[in-house]
Amino acid sequence: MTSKEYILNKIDKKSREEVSLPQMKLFEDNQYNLLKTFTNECISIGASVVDVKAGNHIPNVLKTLNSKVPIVDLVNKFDLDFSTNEVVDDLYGQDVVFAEGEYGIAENGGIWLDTTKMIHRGLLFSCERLVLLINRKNIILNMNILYDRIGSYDYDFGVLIAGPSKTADIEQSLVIGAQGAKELIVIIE
Amino acid sequence: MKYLKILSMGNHAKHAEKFVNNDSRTDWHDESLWYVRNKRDKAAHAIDEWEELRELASQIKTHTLTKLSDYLREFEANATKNGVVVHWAKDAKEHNEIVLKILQAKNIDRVVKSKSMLTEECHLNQFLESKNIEIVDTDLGEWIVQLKNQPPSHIVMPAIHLKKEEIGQLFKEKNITDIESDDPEFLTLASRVFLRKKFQLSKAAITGVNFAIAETGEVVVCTNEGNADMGVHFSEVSIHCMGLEKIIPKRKHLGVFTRLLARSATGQNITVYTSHHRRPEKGQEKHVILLDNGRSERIHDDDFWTALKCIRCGACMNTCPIYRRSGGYSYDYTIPGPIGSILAPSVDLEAHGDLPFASTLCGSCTDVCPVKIDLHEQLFRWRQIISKKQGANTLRELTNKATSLVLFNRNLYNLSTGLMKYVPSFILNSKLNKWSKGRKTPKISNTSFKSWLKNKNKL
Repeated sequence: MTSKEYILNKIDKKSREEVSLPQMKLFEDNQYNLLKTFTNECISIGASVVDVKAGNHIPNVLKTLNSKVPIVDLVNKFDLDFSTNEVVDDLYGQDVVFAEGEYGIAENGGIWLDTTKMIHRGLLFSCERLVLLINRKNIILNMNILYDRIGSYDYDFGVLIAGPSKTADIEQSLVIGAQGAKELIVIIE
Repeated sequence: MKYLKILSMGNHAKHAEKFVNNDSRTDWHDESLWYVRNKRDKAAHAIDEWEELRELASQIKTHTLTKLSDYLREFEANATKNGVVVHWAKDAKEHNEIVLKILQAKNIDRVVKSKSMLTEECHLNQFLESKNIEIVDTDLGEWIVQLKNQPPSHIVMPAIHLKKEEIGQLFKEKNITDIESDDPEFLTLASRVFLRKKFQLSKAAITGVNFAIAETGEVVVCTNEGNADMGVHFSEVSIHCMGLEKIIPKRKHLGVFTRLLARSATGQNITVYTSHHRRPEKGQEKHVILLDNGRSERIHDDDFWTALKCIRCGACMNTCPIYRRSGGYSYDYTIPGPIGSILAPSVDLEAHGDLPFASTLCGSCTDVCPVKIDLHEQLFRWRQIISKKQGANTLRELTNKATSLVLFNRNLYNLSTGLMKYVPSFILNSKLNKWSKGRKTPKISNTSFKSWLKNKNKL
C-alpha cells in the first residue's frame, strides 16, 4: 500500500456528517471612496503614491527615480532609453523594476499581479525599488471581490503585493526592506 | 483500570519558572505580545463584517474537514496537471526522506527555507544537516533562532523572546556584522546582505504553505519579508511542505482567509506578499509534500478534531495570559500557547499531558480565533480526560473534595472561614501552599463580610 492509499484510507475509515459549504459574500459597500481609501492604505503601509492624470507622464516619473542601472520593464510597456525589456544577467543587481498591476485593493493597499506574461517573476522581489502601475478604474474594495474576479484566471504565478518588504522580527520594531524590495512606488493612472 | 502516569506533570511550571524569575523580562515579553494583540483588535474592529468572516471561515474549514479525502484527491489531480509533483508522507520521517531524495536527485547540497512550522514539526533542519546538506532559514526571526540553535518560541514571531542587544551580540559572534549593534534597522540590513548570498548559492527552496486550493492545485504562501519568493523564483527546485489540513475547496474562499489571517496575526490588513504558486517556471521543478503525521487520526477524534481548522495565525498565543508571561519555550512543544496545548497531548500524552493545565480557561483565545475553534473548551475537555487517566489520590483531587465539602455546607463554611484568621501567616505563606509562591496571602480581617454587613444594616 502506498502512503497515499494509507492516508486516504485512514481518513475514510469513518465519515462525519457533511457540513455544507456556506454561500460566499462579497461585502460590497458604496460608502467608500475607493481611490482615496486605496491611496491612504498604500501610504500607511510604507508605499509612496504618484497620481498621474494621463499615461504619458509615467516615463517622467520613472526617469526621476534615477535608476543606477536600466529600469527593467517586466511587462514590455515602454521602450525608453533608460529602460530594458530583457532579462538581465545579474538578477540580484537590479535597482528599479517596473510592472503593471491588474487590481488595486482599497482595504489593504495591495496590488494584484498576474505574472504569466512577465519576463521574470523573481525580479518583483529581488529589486531595490519596485514601481507598480495601477489604473484608477481597477481599484476594488476588498479581497472577496478580488477573488471573485480572478476566480477562474489561468495564471502560472499570481501575487498580491502590499507595500515594500518589511519585518518586525527584532523586538517588534518595524523595519522596511527585509529581503524583498525596499521601496514600493505606486503610480495611479 | 490502569492509570497512566503523566510524566510531564509540572513540566510547564518548571520551564516557566526559569522565564518568570526575571520580573522585568517577563513584563517586557508580556507587553510585547499584548501590543500585538491590541493591533489585532484595531484591525479586526475596523471592518464591519469581521464576525461574519470568522463564521464563514469556520464553516468552510469544517466543511473541508468532513470531505477531506475528496479535496486531497482533487488537489493532487489538479496540481499534477499543473506540472507539480505531489508526494504523500505518513509521518515526519517519510517527509524528511522525500525532501532528501528530491535534493539528492539533483545533487543539491544547499537549501534556503522560508518559515514553516511544519518543517519544525518534522525537525527537517537537523535531518538535512546530518546528511551534510546546508539549510538556511531566511525569515529574519527564524534565521536568528537558527543561528542561536534554538527552536522558534512563537509561530509567527520566532524570536519574540530575544532582546535586540542579544541579537546584536549574536550577529557579531557569528561574524555577520563587524560591530555589536542593537539597531534593528542595521541588523536587518546586515541580514539582507548576508542572506542574499545564500539565495544566490542555493539551488533549492523550501517553503511552508498557508492555503492549498483543491480546485486549482495551487498553494498560497503569505510572507512580509519576501524571503519565500526570493527562494522559489531563483531556484531550480522548489518544495512546498504542508499538512493535510491546509486544503480549502476553491480560490474564491481565499477572500475570507486572507482577510482574517494577517489581521489576526500581526494586526496588518494583509501580509506584504500573498503568493499563489501554481505552475513551475520553465526549467524549474516544483514539488508539494502532503504530510499526515497524526492528522488522519485526529480527524476521527470527536473531542479535538476541530483543532484542525487552525490557520496558524498565533492570535491565541498573543492574547493568552499564560503564554505572555511564561514564554514559548515553557510549552516544550513545536506549537506553543493554547492551540499547542490542544495539539500536543494527542501527539504524546505522557510528555505533554500537563499543557491543558497551563491555562486559566479565561476563553480569550476562543474570542480571538479567526476560525472559531472552541479552544478553552477543548482545553477543559483535555483536563477531564487526563484527570481520569491519571487516577485518584492526587493532592489536587483531595483539595477539590475538601473544598466542595466546605462550600456545600453552610455551617462548615462559616466555621472554616471564621477559623482562617487564626491560621498563622507563616503557614499560609509556607511552601505547602503553592499559591503563595511569588505572592503573599493577604491579611485576613477579624470580621467576616457577613457579620460586617449585618452590623452595618443595624445602624
